Amino acid sequence: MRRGFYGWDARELPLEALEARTRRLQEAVRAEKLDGLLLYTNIARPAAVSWLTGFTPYWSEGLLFVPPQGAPDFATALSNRVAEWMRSVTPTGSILCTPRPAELFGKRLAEEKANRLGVLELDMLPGGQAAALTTAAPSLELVDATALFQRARGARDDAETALFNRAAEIARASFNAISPAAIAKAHAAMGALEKAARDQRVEEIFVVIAPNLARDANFLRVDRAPNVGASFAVRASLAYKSTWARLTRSFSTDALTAAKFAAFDASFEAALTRLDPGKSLQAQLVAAFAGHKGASLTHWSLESCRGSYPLEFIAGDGEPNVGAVALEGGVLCVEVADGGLRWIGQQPLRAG
Amino acid sequence: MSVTAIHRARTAILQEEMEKADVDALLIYGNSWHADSLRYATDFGVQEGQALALVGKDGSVTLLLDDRGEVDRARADGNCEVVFAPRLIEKAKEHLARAGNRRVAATPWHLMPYGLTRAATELRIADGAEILEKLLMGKRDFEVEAVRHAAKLADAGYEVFRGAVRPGRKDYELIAEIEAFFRANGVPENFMIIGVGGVEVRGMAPPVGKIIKEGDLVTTELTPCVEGYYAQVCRTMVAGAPSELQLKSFAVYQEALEAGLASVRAGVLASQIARAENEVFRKYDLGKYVTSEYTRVRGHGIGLFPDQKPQLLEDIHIPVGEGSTIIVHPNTYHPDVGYMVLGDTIIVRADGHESVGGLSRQLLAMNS
Repeated sequence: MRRGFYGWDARELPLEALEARTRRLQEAVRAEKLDGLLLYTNIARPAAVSWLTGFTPYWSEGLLFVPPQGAPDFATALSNRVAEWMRSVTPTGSILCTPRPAELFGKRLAEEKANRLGVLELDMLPGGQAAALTTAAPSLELVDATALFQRARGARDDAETALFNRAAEIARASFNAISPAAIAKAHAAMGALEKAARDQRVEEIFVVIAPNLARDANFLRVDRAPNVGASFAVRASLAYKSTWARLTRSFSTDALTAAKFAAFDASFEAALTRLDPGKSLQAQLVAAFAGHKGASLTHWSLESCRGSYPLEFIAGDGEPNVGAVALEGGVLCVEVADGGLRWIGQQPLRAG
Repeated sequence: MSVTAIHRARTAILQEEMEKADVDALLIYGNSWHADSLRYATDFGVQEGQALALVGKDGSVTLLLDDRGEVDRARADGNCEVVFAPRLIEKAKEHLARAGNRRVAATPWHLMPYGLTRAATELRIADGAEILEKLLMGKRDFEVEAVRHAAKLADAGYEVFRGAVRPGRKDYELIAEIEAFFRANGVPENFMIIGVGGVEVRGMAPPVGKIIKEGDLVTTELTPCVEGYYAQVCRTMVAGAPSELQLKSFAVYQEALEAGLASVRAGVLASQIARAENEVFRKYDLGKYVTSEYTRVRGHGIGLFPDQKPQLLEDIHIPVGEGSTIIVHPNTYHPDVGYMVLGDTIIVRADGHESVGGLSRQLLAMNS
């Protein structure tokens, strides 16, 4: 629930980019003959609303209503006291503070005699919001508009690409705060990494650690992480201006193992530069580590942002093909087994 | 008490309550914002994505998670059967169907996904808030101990915060320092907002890059979490030496906090505590500033959620029971100096309260 730096900067997220996204969505809404589109947001599922507004509620929840034409309205249960603050960090549309956002939109839609409302990820809409909406507008049909949103969102635009690359850059730089030889306890590594990232104005960061890669690859939070072993992995998931990246690196205090990890890092980096979205991702990743005697790929997964989740599972072990759109701006994680040891690498796929 | 022992104790209590309520299973929803009910039943602190737990009367728990990384973390905890469910609703329906013809209480109902609530009859689920709500509000001794531990860390965190404030620093750099301190001390979660400036500051929010100036009020609330249990502290300090006007204004908040705390005893209504605080502001013709235009609540319950029931407001007539943990905080805007805060987490006792924090309640100055 902790939140770091918030701030809208027109050079990073031009108003025109947000307006163009809204227009794309509104064209789809009109084509489907919907009376509007409703998107839910909270800190666990902020991505769709922040894609359209640049804003993530630091607490509580909200709904963004995108009409077939005209500016969207954002209604939130955050109180009126912070409305001015929200306006300072959110460039688009109006902000309505109300304890019952869904009721507000429901009443409006009932007055306008609306028939069909598209809802992103309808099944995941909190039941309380859905009940308030349908009580206020009993004849309103709620239609799942997840596919519509994903189509309209499409490939990342320049602004999103730049923010994603910036998030990835901060993540990479923050790992320099970790000095494996100087770390006895996991807490120290996690705190140092987090501070480095927050000093670079990240909005949020979650750090987890797999403290002993000779034992297992389970990532733990700071409250469960004991002393680190000779070989460990750290994962940082962070948001810069509501755009998320994730990075994992493996470390070792043993010189031979560290050299081996460096070789895995190099192979992974090399593979990332030549991934072909038209071919089996799994086969390409297996091939990337084939040159390391005794080592083999054990797990992989690809995440990306396409709806309300900041990073959503797109594909993983056993799924051979992933489309080009999913690869662009995705985050790829691989795990390699080498005897009794594991190495884990995870990199945002550089976009643009 | 060890983590495992806490989980076992809560599981036993939950089984007893399910028996009393005559339900066969609980369906519990959680995410990183609202994780309290889920934490109570599973001991898993969800950080990313969403979670649903199906809890049987026999103590069995199946945890469905839609984030792959979270699955590994939950499995490492080893408290329940963990299922990766990228299609969360479909998977939950499958599990509910497999459970057969049973009465399932679902909570928190208002956050339960629509894909489940609209099929409530068919899935035999109904609002089960009552079962967990009372457990979340009334704390057992082992829960109070965790809150007490969190309060100690909140105090220590505030000292780090106070040491970090100086003119020229940016608000987000303070956040970086405090969060790093908490992580280095094993605290996985902290809710924190901040205010920097003078009469123009109407409330606290996440940082926006404001640079601290000499004489600014710097307000914050720190809410660290230990074993899932939060404690909160609210304090105001001055970047420099406090002015006469700042001291005079702050005296109202000190008096209001004292009045609020003096009203606390087992069975007191949330509204009575809020009224005691607000009467002080009204006495100084500041009644306008205790309305919803300027302030949200005059305190609230705290435990597995940082902002638990009951909210301390003059129209909330919920009794506060013995052993409950709450924060009393008469935080609001003052027209002469800006937004000020002051609040402490307490344990409600039969004839009064027990403070769990030890920070000074003065308007604090910057460390020299």
